[in-house]
Amino acid sequence: MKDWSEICKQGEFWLTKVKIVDPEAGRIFEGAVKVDGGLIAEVREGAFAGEGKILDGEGLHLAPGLIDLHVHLREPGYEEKETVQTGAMSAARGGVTTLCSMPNTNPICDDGSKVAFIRARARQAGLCRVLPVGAITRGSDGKQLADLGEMHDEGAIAFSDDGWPVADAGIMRRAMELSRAWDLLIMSHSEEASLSRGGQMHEGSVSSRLGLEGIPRESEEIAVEREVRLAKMTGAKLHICHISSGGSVDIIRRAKAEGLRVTGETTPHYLLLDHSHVSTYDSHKKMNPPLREKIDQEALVQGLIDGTLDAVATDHAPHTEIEKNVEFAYAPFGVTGLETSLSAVITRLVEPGLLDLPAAVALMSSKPAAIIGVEQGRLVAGAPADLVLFDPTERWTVRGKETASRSDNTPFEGMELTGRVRATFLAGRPVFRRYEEDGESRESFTPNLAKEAAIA
Amino acid sequence: MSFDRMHLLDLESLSREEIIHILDTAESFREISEREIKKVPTLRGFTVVNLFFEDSTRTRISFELAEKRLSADVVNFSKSTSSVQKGESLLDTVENLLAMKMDIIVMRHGASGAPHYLAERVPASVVNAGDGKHEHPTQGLLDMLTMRHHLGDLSGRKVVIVGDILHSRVARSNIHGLTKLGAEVVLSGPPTFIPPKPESLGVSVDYDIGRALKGAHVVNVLRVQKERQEGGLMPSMRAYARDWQVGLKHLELLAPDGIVMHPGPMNRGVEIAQEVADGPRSVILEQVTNGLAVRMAVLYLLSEARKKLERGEIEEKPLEKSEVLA
Ligand SMILES: [Zn+2]
Repeated sequence: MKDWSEICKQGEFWLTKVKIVDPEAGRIFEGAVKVDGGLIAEVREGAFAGEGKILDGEGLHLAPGLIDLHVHLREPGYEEKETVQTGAMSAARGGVTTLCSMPNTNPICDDGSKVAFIRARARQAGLCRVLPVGAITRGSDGKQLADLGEMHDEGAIAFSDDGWPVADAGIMRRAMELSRAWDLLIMSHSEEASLSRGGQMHEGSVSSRLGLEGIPRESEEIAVEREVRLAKMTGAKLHICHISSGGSVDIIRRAKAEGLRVTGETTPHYLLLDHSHVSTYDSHKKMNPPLREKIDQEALVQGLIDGTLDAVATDHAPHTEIEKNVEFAYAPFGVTGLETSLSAVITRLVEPGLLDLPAAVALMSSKPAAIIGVEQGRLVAGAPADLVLFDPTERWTVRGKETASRSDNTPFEGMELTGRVRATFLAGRPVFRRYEEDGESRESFTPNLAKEAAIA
Repeated sequence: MSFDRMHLLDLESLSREEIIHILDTAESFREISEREIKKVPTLRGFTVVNLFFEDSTRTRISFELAEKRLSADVVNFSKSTSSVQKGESLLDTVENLLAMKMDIIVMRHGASGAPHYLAERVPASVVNAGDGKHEHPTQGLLDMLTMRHHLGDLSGRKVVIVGDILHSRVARSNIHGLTKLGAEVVLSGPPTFIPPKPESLGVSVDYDIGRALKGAHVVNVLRVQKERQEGGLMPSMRAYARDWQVGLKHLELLAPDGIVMHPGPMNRGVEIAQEVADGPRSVILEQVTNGLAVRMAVLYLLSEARKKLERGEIEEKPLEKSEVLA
């Protein structure tokens, strides 16, 4: 295997013999892509040998690099779980080239300097674009608004108190009103805490059997309804995070029909797993919101098919083995996801024929790009050359121990998934590759420290 | 029938035959308790640790006595769950004990699933002596032994469980065991005390205690905890007693051979009237006696299974939880 980084060093090269997945045009075609100066210079359809420097795509699929709207990088404050560096490695390994980092670090990301810190760390890592999400309230205490404008100036892409959802509807109203000044995006982890407090898993037949406190669907749905009404009242741009319940999909469907600027996402684990997977008290199936029922899964899939839901994001939430390897009730909520999201979506949606590959890829590239308003996520001339090269048919078994993340709390341990990332390009450079050498599978990470790799 | 399990974690995963086998074994241990010399050498050479992360003098004494009557070496270890949560992990605590070669761990723990967690990670046998709001399998077994003693075959018999089902491990073990033995199980209590989707547990619900008790062969009365009132699930203990206390007037609703049970400790005058607790239908003290026999049976069966495993006659099966209905 030739060293791709060497070939790409001058910044100008052709990636040939690829099946191009264009999420916006909704089609797949054979062709080649020319990269120059970190951008896609040309997309050429048909057989083409290339000229100048050439990378042979060997018939693999090429899509825009994935965009993940919900990631916990844990730095600063929880470096034992993840750092910007390891999180970016994990992203690159999963084909993710842009991610939104959640503000629940320690300290909470609630002012401009903290936003700048995360961006600086991401630049040093050079493996993935990191767009910080700033807190809505200072310290995410739900009481006093944080300086949204200053964080926006420093590059915050959206605002959320994520895991500490703003309980006071009046404060949320003011946040949404203020967001209009710069037309900022509000992301909501929708949870009515008075209904979910003390809960460990979805409230239903399994929680009844296991003797675990339940988190009812309504704790999510009531909060989604509140956010939607406040968005209508204020005209704010609202995105609902990690939707787990079928009822929330209905609320968003109605909001969209009303013409509100509301978008929604779900996660791979809600699509592949349900509450019965908790029945062995496996803390790797513990997250918030919790795994719900088959009917919710079906409603989420339907929402993705009919366009009610706009994106699949991971809610990548690393925790150390020490924290997770305890009694279920004492384990923290959260699972990792960056390295399994593309495979999970192919396995759950593309393989059974529910969505075609371009539509599935759109949920993880062009559509989330539109939500946060970035130019990534497209495979057309002039767009940033953030790309993922993958084999949509390769079957592999998930092993937490093989992760690039600092934590290995995947909910898919031991599951066989279809589709696997072979290479990830960030601003025209291969930052991750998986290849065969001497009959062995090898992986390499090569940071792209060029200035354009940091900008989104 | 043989019992080839290394652990007793819950009744949900046991088969009907396994439950009957444990109950039959317990019958013979009850006879031993009536002998002049109550001690047998069955568990000689075995070390049992009673690991109690919650206070439960009754259950611990019952286990300890069962272990001593079987001639086991017994170690007691108590620690409050909250201190464990802050400091040393459960696994560390247990690995420390196992370094001293323990064969069987009897554990009471405040977190549902804690015994399952442990059983997956340690070579010793684990007996669940009550985990959180999940199960209390030896209590379920002793309840069934007591019922069987009075009623014979339990299939088709109506058992009404009254009280805080949602938070009760006793209720869950009763439900799984009794439904496997073919009994009709009815839950009664305030709606805030009934777990979600009760039909998925194979039981029916009647909020009206009078209606529920009509023709019942057993009424199993659960302890109502004061915290529930503070948690907003009941206006007051008085409000609970008004509509769900099992009183004298309820006894005439029972089947002629109907009995009254309570896992203890009782709040007399709250969930059960004094006259009922001490009345002729009450078999509450008998439950305590049967608890000893059931625990001896469980420890004996596990020790036999361990011996068989050591001799290579059986293989250790991976833990499985019976299939969960979604
Ligand atoms: Zn969240």
